[in-house]
Order: sequence, then C-alpha cells, then structure tokens
Amino acid sequence: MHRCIPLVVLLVSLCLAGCAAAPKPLVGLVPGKEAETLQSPISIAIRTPEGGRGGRGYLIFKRPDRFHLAILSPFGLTMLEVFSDGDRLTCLIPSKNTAYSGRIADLPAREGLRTWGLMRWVVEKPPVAGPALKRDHVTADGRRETVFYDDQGVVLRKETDEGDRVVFSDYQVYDGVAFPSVMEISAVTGESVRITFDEPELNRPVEEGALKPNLDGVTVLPFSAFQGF
Amino acid sequence: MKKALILIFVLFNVAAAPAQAVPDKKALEGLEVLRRGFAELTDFTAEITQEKQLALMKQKMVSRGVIRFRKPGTFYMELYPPNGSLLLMRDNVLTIRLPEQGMTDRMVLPPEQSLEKWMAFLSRPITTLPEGMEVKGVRQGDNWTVHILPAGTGGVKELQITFDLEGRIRRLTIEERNRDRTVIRFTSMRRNVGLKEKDFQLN
Repeated sequence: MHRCIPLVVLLVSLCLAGCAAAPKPLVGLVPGKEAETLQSPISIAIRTPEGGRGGRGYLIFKRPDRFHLAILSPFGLTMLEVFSDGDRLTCLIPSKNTAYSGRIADLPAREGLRTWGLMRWVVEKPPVAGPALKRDHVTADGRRETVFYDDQGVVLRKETDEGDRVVFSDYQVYDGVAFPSVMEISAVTGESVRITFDEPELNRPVEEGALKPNLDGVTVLPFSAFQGF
Repeated sequence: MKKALILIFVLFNVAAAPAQAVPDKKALEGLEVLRRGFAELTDFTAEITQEKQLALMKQKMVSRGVIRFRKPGTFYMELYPPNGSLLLMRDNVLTIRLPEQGMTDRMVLPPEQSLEKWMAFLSRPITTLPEGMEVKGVRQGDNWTVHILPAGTGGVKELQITFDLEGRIRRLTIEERNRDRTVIRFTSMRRNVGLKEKDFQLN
C-alpha cells in the first residue's frame, strides 16, 4: 500500500489536469470553466511489479492541490486516508491509530517515489490546445512531454520522453466541465493506477474540515519511520 | 484489511474467542442466542445495504449487495456496481476481486484465523465472554443488540450486532475511532437454502 500513496496523489492531480479534455462530442461545456473542487466515490486499482491492490473509496479535491482520499475495505472499514496540502502529505492508517506525515520530498526512497515526480508533472496545466491534436511541451521541471488532444481541444493523454503516461477517458460533462470517468497512469517504473469516478460532483462547496486529518489521539510519525502497512 | 476481516468474522463467531473471567449475564444470553442461530444453520444468504459515513464528510456512501455463508467455512460477499467488489473466504484463504478494475487480490490468513476453526466452536454453549474486549447485551422486544468494544487502540471502537430471537442478524454497525461509521443492514435473510458451489464463485 505504501507504494500507492504517491500514485494516489498523482491521481488527484490528474483530476484537474484532465478536466479540460474530452475524447468524444460533449454537450453543455462552458468555455473556460474548470474544476475547482471535486467530490466523488471512486474505485481504484494499483498495480506494481510485485502485485496489485485496489478498493473503493471517496475522494475530495480542492484547487490547487489539496485532497482527502479514503480507501475502504469491502466491509466498509476505513483502511487508509491520505491528505495532501501543498507539498505536505499525511497518510492515516486507522487500524494502527497511526499517521505518517511530512513533505512529499521526504517520502522514503522506495519504488513508488518515482511517481512523486509524476505528480508534479501532472498538476501542471497542459498548454492550451491549438489547431494541432498533439503538442510538444517542456514542463516546469524541464522534462519534455507530449500532450494529445481531441478535436474539441481537450486532453486525451500526456506522455513524457522518459515513458510516463497518463490517459483520460470516458468523459462526461458535469456543471459545464468535462471530466474523465476513468484515469489511468502508467509510470515508467512499471506501476500503474486506474481510477474510476462514480457520478462526481464538481464545483460544489468543500468544507475546510473535510480536507484536514483528525489526528486527535493518533500517533504521528515522520515518513522515515514508515515500516509498511 | 486483514485485521478488519478477522474482526468481522470474530463478530459472527464471537463465542470462539478465548474466555473472559467475569461474564456479563445479558451479554452471555445475547451471544448464546446468536450462537444457537449459527449452530442451527448449514448456510445462509442475505441482501445487504452498506452505509458508510465518513466523519469528515456529510455525504454517505451507500452500497448494496449480497452475502452468503456455507459451513464449514465459506463466506462470500458481493457489493454491486458501481464500484463493485467480490470477496470470498474459503477457510483461511481470502480473495478479493474488483471486476470493474480487472483486479484480483489473494491472501492467506494464519491457520488459527480460519473460518472452520471458528465454526468448530459453535457446537459449544457460551459460558464465558471473549477476552480482549468488553461485551454488553441489550434486549429490546424481539431483538437483541450485542455491543463489542475491543480493547486497545485499533481502528475499531465498537461493533454492534442486532439480531432477532432466532439469531437472524438484522444490522451490523461498526464505529471506528476516527468517528467513521458503517452500518450494514441485512434483509431477505434465508437460512438452510442449500447453497451450491456455484454460489461462491468470483467469476
């Protein structure tokens, strides 16, 4: 599960990055309107070279980079909650009454770390679509990426020269904004994440409390103390 | 995840746990009703509605599905789409499948946590309460509610199981220490219906 954390954050970021895209004719789009908040039940599948994990849960997102993700067991118990605020991340494991918190940059150097770099890439808004359906672009961290659009000017996928890739599919229009029902991220490290949204609510008010972990009575440790789930 | 599952199975078979020194009479009485209900069946199936209330959110997540159980140790739970999942436990082998994601996860629990092991205890009347948890029993009319409060600082603060006088489960409530709450309601419960192997397939 530890390897999932960066990918989860990545996914949330993808929500916004992909909000301007649609692979098929969409009705009701409001030009210039974007997703400021997102609240949605989700299902998530995370695959690594060592195996796969998945579950269902709930995701709350607020621009620019705050989110709260809860992953549930089949019986409904909360297995994992992840909170992101800027470059800080808190991973709460209710069954252990323990949270790991710190800067994203301080995450242990394990296999999933590569995906943090992806996250930073993903949160960047893609260049505005032009007449071409494909544009090369240099990201803020100096990497080269290729962004693919459909004929409505929305992003279908992004790829870096290193081999990281994100794909947005099955777009629907919510509150005038195109939003992908499915997102798939494939990291060059061999990890991939697929997230499916179920009737997401866009641009509805998000209470501040929903984005802050309740750490009363919880043992909070740095990421360096993380020994696995 | 594993601990959560085990806790649930303990709940359904709470008599199997080690004994507690000072028994609460109402708790014992309620647990014995539940135990007898299980002892008298060979299988059961029920529709379920699961409501998850995250403490930090106003909105509930509601899922519907079905559970099936067959002695000596096969348990199946399906939550319907969207975000559906299938869970199958055969003795101590747990498999979870997410059909929409094309993913299957399998884990083997320690032998002492196998379903058959827990079921073996059901033949014995309950005379003591389990260790490591506080248990209370409350009878209201034709229903019992047994409250189970695990000791320690784990994620589950309290389990409440409500059942009728024949031991048929009506509702299961899981209170977590983070104030999240899950309520699973059981409807259309049928016992001894002759469930077959095909009723416990993940595909």
